[in-house]
Amino acid sequence: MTNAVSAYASQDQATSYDHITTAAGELAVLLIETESAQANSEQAARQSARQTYLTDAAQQATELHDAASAIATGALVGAAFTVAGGICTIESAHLQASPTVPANPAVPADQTASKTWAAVGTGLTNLAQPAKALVGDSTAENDRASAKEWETRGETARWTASDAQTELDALNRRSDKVLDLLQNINQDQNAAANAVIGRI
Amino acid sequence: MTTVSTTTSEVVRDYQTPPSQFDAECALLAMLVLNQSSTQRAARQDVQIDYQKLDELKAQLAAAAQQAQQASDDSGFWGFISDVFGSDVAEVAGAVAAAAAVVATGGAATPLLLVVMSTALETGAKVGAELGLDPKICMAIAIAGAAIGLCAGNGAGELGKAAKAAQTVERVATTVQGSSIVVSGATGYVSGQYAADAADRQADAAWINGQQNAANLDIDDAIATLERALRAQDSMTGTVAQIQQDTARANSVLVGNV
Repeated sequence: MTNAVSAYASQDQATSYDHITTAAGELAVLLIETESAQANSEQAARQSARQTYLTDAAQQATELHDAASAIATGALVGAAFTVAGGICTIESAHLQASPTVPANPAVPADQTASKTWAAVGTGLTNLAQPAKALVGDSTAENDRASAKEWETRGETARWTASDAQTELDALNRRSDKVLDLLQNINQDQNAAANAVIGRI
Repeated sequence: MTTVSTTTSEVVRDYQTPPSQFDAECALLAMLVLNQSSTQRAARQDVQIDYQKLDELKAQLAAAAQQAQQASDDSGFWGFISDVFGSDVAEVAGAVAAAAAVVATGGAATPLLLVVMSTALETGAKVGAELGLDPKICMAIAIAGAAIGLCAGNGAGELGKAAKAAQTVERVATTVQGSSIVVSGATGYVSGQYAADAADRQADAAWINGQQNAANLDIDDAIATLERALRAQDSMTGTVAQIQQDTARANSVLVGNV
């Protein structure tokens, strides 16, 4: 049953190699065990990197959603200022029409209130863009920058996962070579045993 | 879609327990191949599931991209409307209101301004005619110049009427200016909401893209597992064949010695 060891060794799971008798065979088994442990480690690293990548991607999406919310808030604030400014301007036009003394339209209208409303309207309208930029655009840019950072982290994690996969493939190839080696050792052992038996 | 040949697993699938007539090596081989076959089946299933997931994600990504594009287009349209009302209409109305205000307030410079405008228009009509401008346009310019000249030269009464008309013009223009600012604000809000929608869809697309990349990683992993299982199966078969050969050779040697 010595030869059965090679077949056992082909499995990924931990196996028993009690029947290996030569030093070379034991070395081969040790190599397989080492490769197997490394493969498990790389697999774990790959899984971890994949999970990190997904977490980072989710975080990136969250930041981008936050940026979208900031854009909406900015639009609302900007619109509020603009509409308020427009209403003030309309009110200023309305006040232009009102005579100072309603009973006597001949008395020239006092334009102070109208001018005040017009000034407030202009001020509010002019404030709309800065308010929008402050509340919306700058916050959105900040969120986008954070999203970019998470994207970069995610890419790094993806590379890590990819590297782990490459390393895993290389380990498996090495394991195959060691298995071939073990098989050759067994063949040599058997050939030697046969030769000995032939001389008896 | 991936469809991987299942010949080996199909062959072995029926041997849930190795037949008793097999020797130890063959029984071991059958068990190991069974094991690898189930690994292969699982890997193939993973690949198929991941490909299905990829297809779904691709469709979702396309939908998100289309929605983002649509929202972006809508945002652009409403932004354009907002700009037209906020910049063009409001500014023109503001300029008209300001010009009317100068006339309406009856400033000291009004008569002089009207005379200058009248002279400029009359001169413009003459020069235009000499340069070959359309006679109708020249006539319109000349009439406008004459009308303004009439206002300028007709004393306080006519100026008072002009001031009243200018007041009305100023009021209307200011109202138009305010209304267009309100419309600009409202359409700007709509544009902003669409822009936020587009950004939302882009965020969705980023997340879908992330899931796609993760699915690709999973597919790579499943394919690697499948490849490994196939290699292991080949190796096992070779090993057991070798064992059989060795055993047969040993038996022949023993038989030869007897």
